[in-house]
Amino acid sequence: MKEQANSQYLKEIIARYLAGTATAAELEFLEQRDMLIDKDGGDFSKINGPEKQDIKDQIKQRLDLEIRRSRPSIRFVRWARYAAAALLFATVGTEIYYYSQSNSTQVNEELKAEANIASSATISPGTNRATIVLDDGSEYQLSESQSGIVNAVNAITYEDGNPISTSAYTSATIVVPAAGQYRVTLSDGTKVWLNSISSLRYPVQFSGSERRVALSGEAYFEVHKDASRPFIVESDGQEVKVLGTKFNVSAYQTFPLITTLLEGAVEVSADAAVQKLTPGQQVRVSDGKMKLMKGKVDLEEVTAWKNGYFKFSGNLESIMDKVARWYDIEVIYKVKPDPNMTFEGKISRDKNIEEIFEIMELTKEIHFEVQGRSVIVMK
Amino acid sequence: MTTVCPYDERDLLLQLQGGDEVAFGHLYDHYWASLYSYAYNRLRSKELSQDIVQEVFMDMWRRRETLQIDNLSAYLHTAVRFLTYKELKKLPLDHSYYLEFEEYLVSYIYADTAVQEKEYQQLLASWIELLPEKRRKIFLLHYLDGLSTETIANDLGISRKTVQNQLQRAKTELHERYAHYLTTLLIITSLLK
Repeated sequence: MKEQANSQYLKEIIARYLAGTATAAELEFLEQRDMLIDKDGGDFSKINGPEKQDIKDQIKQRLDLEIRRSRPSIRFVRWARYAAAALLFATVGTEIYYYSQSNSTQVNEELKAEANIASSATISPGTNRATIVLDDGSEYQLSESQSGIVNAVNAITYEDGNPISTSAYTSATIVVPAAGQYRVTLSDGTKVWLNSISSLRYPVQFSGSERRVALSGEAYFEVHKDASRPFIVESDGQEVKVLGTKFNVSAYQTFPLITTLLEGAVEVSADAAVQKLTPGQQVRVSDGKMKLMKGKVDLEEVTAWKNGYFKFSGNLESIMDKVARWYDIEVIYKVKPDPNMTFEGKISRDKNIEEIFEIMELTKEIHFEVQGRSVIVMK
Repeated sequence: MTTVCPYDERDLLLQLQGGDEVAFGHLYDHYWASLYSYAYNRLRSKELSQDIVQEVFMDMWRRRETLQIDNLSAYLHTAVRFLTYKELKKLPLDHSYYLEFEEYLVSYIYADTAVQEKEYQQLLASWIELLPEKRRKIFLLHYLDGLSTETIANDLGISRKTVQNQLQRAKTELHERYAHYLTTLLIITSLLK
């Protein structure tokens, strides 16, 4: 008899099983044989514990890598682009992570291999976006190609002079949505930069002995000097009283009210408490309690948003709060982020969100997955 | 496979569908060993077995959103089985998987415990049933006559007498069991002699 005729026939049965044409008897036979092979654990049971652990870890590593690559919305690092655009590193405790040139070359190679995996959905950054609501109830969607409006004596125009409305109004409200920003020049020449999810209500023409505006969200003010008429920013029970100065107010609901002074002098009051700030100082109001921040305040970080970039310095949640407003996303934490894990760095607000995540993922401490407008934060 | 998954599998599957890598990790921890051992016990290749297990889990991950799995264990084991057989089909006949099969078919002669006998008989029986008629005859002929008493005795280091007794018993049983096949077979055999 021909050598191994049985095996030859077994192969034919396997081929039929794979093709889905095996008979019930053939399938039954394969099952019987399977049972006998795995009886008592088979050869696998002869592998020792540490070696099994190695195998397990190796496969898991390969899976993790493949999952990361398969994620459509988060592409691989474009190192060269970031080298100029961003300078971001992360510290965990006292450790600092550096990325060597050789490492990035390898990543670039991988990127080339991944280039044909198209990014299906990217989350674009915010842009100039706002609505102006006038006191007669009329609303105008402000142009995205303009960056600010001016409240002149008898007209509201864009900064380049294009008119928005020439009717006479007493008050107006600028509403900036998530992923938006806009600039307003008030009738006294005061400039206000509004961040995402913010609104400013103001009199179209200031009259009387004070200049009073109401803010929710975040704004940076460059108040025109006028000693005879103090400028007052009202937000959520807090008042910031100024004469002529530059300062930033962050007044987002459920977050502390944060007022930071860059130049001049302001007086912050909430309930009974009053605090005068000198340049470089910051005061926080939370649940009616006022607290003057000790130590040096990073003014660049406070005003980075109005200058078109993020400056990150702090834990993940504080960073994600800013990112969420600018990209209009919801952040879901799969794991509670380590409060000791802090990120430091700058990145332009013009980037797609994935680019920010890619940089943060370089730390290997964190992982993002984008699903629609939700971002899932994972370890 | 007998270990209890420390998490509710339905929950893990729901989390997996939501893209939860932690849930994916738990499922991996739970199933990797039984899947790997299936592939490895047949292929005897670490690399091939790793590739297969990786592919099975990646496939689950990629299709997580559309997967309707009532029985995850069965799903994963069916997948690993299919991929393993796919590899086995490519392997040469001198691979241990096939050599051991050949050996197994004649091992009844060597068998000495009741349990082995029972399992062996079942496998042998279903194998003989599977063979097309012509092949079956050749197999039985080979089985009955092809085993040289001397070879077996040398292989096992036992006396020719013992082998002859065992072989006789095997033949008798085969005759009884497969009498309907053997009738024609023996005629052919006698004609050939």
